Amino acid sequence: MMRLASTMLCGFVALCSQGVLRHIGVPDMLVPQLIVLLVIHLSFAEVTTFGCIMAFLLGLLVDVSSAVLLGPWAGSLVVLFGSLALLSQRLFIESGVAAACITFFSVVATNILFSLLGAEYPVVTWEYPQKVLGQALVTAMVAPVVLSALARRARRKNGAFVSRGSALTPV
Amino acid sequence: MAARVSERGKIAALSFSLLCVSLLLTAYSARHPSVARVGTAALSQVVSPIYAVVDFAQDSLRSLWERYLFLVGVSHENEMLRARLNELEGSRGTLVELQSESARLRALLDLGSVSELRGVAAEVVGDEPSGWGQGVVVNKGSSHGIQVGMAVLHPKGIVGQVVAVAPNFSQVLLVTDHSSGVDALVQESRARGVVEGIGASYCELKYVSRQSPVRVGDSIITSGMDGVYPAGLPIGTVSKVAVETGTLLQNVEVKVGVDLGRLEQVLVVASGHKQSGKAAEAKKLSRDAVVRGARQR
Repeated sequence: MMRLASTMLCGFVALCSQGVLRHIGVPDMLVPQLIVLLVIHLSFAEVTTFGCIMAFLLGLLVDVSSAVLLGPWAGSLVVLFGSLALLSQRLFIESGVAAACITFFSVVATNILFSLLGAEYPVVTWEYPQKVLGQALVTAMVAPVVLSALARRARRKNGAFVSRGSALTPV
Repeated sequence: MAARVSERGKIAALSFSLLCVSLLLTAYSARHPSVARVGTAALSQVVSPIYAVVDFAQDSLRSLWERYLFLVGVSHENEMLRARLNELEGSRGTLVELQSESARLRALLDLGSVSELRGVAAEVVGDEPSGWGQGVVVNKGSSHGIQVGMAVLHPKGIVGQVVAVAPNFSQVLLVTDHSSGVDALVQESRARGVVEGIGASYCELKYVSRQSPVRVGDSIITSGMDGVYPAGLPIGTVSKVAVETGTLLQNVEVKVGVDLGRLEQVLVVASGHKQSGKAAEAKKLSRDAVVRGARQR
């Protein structure tokens, strides 16, 4: 339960950070998708069904904050979590470059999925692809720092997360 | 390993299930938009104070940056503003001067209209060249209709009379000069005398009998009998009265009303000349009458 609260708090902080960046005038395409980073972290550090549920709840949090549709972000992030969790044994997230690449493709994939899920509804606009590419790049740039910070935090919890047996979290 | 595979299978199954749930939620919230906004208000309520704090921090930082750190060009702007200020101060000084001059000229015009005098407004351009007597030079002369003997006036009283005329300049003898004399009256008691200059800003009212009541503070005005100054113009006020024993007259000191050291604009009037002209005409008429009478006789 504490893990859930902690993760949701992290999600809330990520959302607030994104909101604050937009609020102070940072262009939309330069705002990193920190929630996606959080789900990427979960998919490597919490490879459990509970991690899946947390990814779903994080998506719901984004949906609630967007106030447009309830579900597209939840579905997208669940798919992202599932995909990365299944591949987590084969991906070396500790490398900064790898983390950046994984993040870039994850952001793009999540947004494509989001646009597919919300395709029938007026969610996606013509500016959307540019915005997604910009956000994916910026998120990829901050990913090594954010992911290593999250990994350190998970390590401090001393086995609180179920690890895949890598250096990311303690065994 | 089997447990791991099983866990991953569960994750895959759960992910698929949750994807389906999210699809259902999407479809439902698309039909019922209010569902998508459940909790949005609460979330906004929580986020709003954060934005307020961010706004405050942003404003503070901007203020700090703009007022204390980013001062490039401020020095240049300051210099420009100082130059502009100096320029405006100069303009203001000129305007004040013009306003003052306008007020003085208006006062002269008022003087002309009140006393029905027709005169020439002139500006004092210098002091008497020799420096021996008390006089000033004005910038109007014979080409402006000024003649010797004309009275020179100021809104506060008489100044003197014209003693020399050039085409464009005239020399004025001030009432405070020793050689100046003005037929005058004490306004309150109507005692008559002659005001003669004694230098500085003072004159002496002479030939006032000791029986005539004269007090300090009484106003001295022109009588109009000298043919130079129109009657009733202020000369000054009595500043000292002295009665010596064994004399028939009293010594009366008069402080001139006009600040003769700060003269700028004056009005040169021909009123006295008009009177002189009238007097001359009267004399001519009386002479003609005498001649006619003699011829008749």
